[in-house]
Amino acid sequence: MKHTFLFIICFLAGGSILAQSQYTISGTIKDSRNGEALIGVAVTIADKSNVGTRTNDYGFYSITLEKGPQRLRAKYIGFKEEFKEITLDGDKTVNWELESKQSLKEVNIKAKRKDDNITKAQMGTETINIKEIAKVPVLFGEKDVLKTIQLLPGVKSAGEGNAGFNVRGGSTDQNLILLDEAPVYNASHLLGFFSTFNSDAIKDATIIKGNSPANYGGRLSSVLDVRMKEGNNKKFAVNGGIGLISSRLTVEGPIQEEKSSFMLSGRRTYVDVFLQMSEEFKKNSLYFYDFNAKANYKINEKNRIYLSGYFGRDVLGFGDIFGIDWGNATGTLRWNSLISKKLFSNTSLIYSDYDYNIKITSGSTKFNINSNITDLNFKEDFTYFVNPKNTVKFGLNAIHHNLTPTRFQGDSIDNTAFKKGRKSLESGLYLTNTMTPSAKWSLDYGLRLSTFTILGGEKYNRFEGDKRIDSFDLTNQRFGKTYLSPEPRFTANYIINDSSSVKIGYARNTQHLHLLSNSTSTSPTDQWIGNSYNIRPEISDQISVGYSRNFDDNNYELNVEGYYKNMQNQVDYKNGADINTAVDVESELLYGDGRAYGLELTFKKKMGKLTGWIGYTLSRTERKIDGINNGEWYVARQDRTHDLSIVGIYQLTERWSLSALFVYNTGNAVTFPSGKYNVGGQTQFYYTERNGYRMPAYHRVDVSATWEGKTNKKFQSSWNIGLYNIYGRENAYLIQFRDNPSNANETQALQYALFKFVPSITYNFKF
Amino acid sequence: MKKIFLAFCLASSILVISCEKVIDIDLNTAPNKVVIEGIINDQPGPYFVKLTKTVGFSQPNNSLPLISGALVIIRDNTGVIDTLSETQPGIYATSKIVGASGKTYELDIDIQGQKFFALSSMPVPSSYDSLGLTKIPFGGAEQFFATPFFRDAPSLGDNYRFVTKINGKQDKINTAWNDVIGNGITSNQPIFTDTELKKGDTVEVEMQCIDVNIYNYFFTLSNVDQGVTPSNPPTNIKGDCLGYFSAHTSRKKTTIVP
Repeated sequence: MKHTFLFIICFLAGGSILAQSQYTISGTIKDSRNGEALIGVAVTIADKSNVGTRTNDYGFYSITLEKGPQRLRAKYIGFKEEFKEITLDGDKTVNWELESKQSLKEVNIKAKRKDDNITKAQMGTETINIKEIAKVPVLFGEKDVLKTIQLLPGVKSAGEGNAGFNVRGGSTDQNLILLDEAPVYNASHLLGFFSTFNSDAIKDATIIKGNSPANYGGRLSSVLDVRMKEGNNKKFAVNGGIGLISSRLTVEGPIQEEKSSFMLSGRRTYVDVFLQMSEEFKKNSLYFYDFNAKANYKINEKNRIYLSGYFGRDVLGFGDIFGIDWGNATGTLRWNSLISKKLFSNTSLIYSDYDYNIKITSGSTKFNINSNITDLNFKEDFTYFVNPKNTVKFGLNAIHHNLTPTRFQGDSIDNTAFKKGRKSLESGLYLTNTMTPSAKWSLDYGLRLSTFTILGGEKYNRFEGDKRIDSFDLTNQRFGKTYLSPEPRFTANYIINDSSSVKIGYARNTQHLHLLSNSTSTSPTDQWIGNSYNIRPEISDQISVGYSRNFDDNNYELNVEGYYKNMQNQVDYKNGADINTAVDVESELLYGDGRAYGLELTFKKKMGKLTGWIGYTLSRTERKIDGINNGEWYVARQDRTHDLSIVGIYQLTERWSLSALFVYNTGNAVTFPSGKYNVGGQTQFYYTERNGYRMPAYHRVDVSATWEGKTNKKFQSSWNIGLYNIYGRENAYLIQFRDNPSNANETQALQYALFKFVPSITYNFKF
Repeated sequence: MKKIFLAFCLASSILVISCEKVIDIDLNTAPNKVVIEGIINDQPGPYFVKLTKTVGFSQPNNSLPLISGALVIIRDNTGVIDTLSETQPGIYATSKIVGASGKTYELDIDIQGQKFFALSSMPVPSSYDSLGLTKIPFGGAEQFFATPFFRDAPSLGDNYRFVTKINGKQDKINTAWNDVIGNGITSNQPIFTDTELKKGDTVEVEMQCIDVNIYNYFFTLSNVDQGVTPSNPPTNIKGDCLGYFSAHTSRKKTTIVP
């Protein structure tokens, strides 16, 4: 395999490796304030913006140029552009520290603004910088990456205030959520009202809506790549916030200056404190906490290690009768190594775990219901800076999954004997090249080979429709069925002129893990299941076409993208499926296809007193499952024809800023009755077509105001006050049908709404 | 799982101010569909089969069309054939068939040429020892829940339906259990009711031992309003209709809330 890789790289490099008159400049690019590595900084020859490269995920770059004097430019959003003159007479290490524009308030920056949307081949990609979203109004005043990405076109919230999201018609489980490369299996706290991402601990988050490069794999619809801060390696810093629901505190600083640093961040809610005060809820508990930690150590100029971890837990209980707790734990150990001036390697060992545990005491019986998923993950990634026109990434990834399905454990109630847990090995091998063949074109193409092997240690059944046709024990140390899927990926960008470009992309993604959920939004009791002898890998093919245009010296940005996605082997349940107590949950499943298409528009204003964006999506999402709706196509629950969000942030004075947000979307597709009858002495409702109705349209406006305290070098503080849903619209969360309690001869529809006016106040500080 | 759902509802209600209101909604009216409900139990007959049709959502509940003039026959596996007579419009009664556990019953219906057919086997009943009450502190207040104590048979595959009547009025919540978890145990699980039990209430809990198809029917029915996509419960009757035909054992016990 190694030889094949080398061969391909040589081929891609087009022979330029042999040239004698060229030398390599390499190094890292960091933020001058805190030493955090900057990802995706464009490093180019000053007067030829198409000849250059970008820093990788660890801030490293390498560029090979002709001998002689060279002038390089480094350009990155939110930072001052910088130039360096270099006389190239041998390989050189050039490190940069870029200055943030924010720290240069009084300097009027005339430099050219970011035009990444024009020059990059990446499609359907959006990077969220935590600083930028700090002023966007949010529920309970808790700034949240997952809530903010739901305001982007093509990304839809799974429900009011819910951290779950649907991307381009995909299900909530079709998003690969990574925290420092570790998959996070349930990214929500407190029944979905918060995400697991404490914004103080996070550097940035990137979402790729389906057309991800080949180094990512495992989910159909999107990749959300969240990175923790590395920790300030220049000075100690403390920041935190006190809000109505929760508080957080982050400490970071150098261990040895410029050589090693750490970051520790914690957050906890205190709703339970109020519960304790009320006589009625005294015996109940309801809280969550999470903890992020990261440290890095520079061994020498060529080697650096990073250790990062996350631990979060939710606890909910009613006296001794009922208790549930759930949470994620992740750990990542990474080793960056410069094998040569042009070859960068990163080796990662990753641990990831999600579990929930329900404790029930009724009468004299005590039992637990639990489920968990544990991953051990090895990743080896190489970045090879072939020449200024080609950057090759290749690597491999092997994940050992151990999935324990929902099971009951107790003195009298126990089904652990036939729910032992399933082991599997998911691996990926990839090669991808970012290429700029000419000033007009940039390409990104690659191939990922993904495999999934069932490992022994559990009994497996084969079903044909309802009937179990075969059953066998796959003993320990034995390999079961293997699925192999090649996934080609391709995107191309053609620059029409300085301010506009067109893009086209195709990607195939496969997914080997599937979520079984007994509710319509994300819930802690959701359980994952891998491919089996019945469940096949989900496959999606997505084609997208895009057009980008910038106006007024990149102050305004317009992006239009259209997509068509075809999905195979989608998993659904039989009517009345019982996914928790069934002997083999696979007997309850149905399979089918999906298709989704749509048009996404984003219009952004990036500079000046007023900034913000308008995002609009016109889309359709359908499913066709054998056994549902007579096997005909029907609209999926998450189908919303129109989806609009408008976000505006206005800098009123130096210290006051105001922000507002408006969202509107067509209601979800739902199944309502088309008649009624009487059975068992009760009125029952008669359903005719799956998702044949719509919830009422959803809309609301949120506002917030931020006041920055006097800025002095030592201590900074700010107050943020907000109001969620200012016109108090009762947006339908659920509609149910029942007999009229005051007239048994009549039936009625009952609408439930959640948040109607939710005020919030948060105090943030930093020193 | 119902308990978990209730807990979530409670948790959510602590967190958010949830508003509920009655709304007007424009629902389609599907063509009327035949609804069949047939029951045989191990208590003395007659047993009844009810034939009705669906109506539109906005029509009164007492306007359900009754189907008269149908031919309704029940047979058992010992060769007894009983042609039911229509005692009230849409209600057909048996005259000679006897309900006994271990027997399989066959239902044949002919409504003006439209034919329906169903089979159901009456299981061996588990022993229903007593009916108690379990006190559960929900929030600060303590609430009583009816708790049937019964011994599940040692073999796997027993299914139960519980029908609760509070002061003679049948409670709305459908309860269907099986022994997939907890086979052979003495059950002391409380039954959650829509109506809160109050001091002095008379509670009757009927335990029905049902066959697996009827379990699937009532289990689905009990989940319809729990957030999952609603669907019509899977009927065990062949033919274009809704409803079920159940041969089950029936034991009733009563208690008074102290």
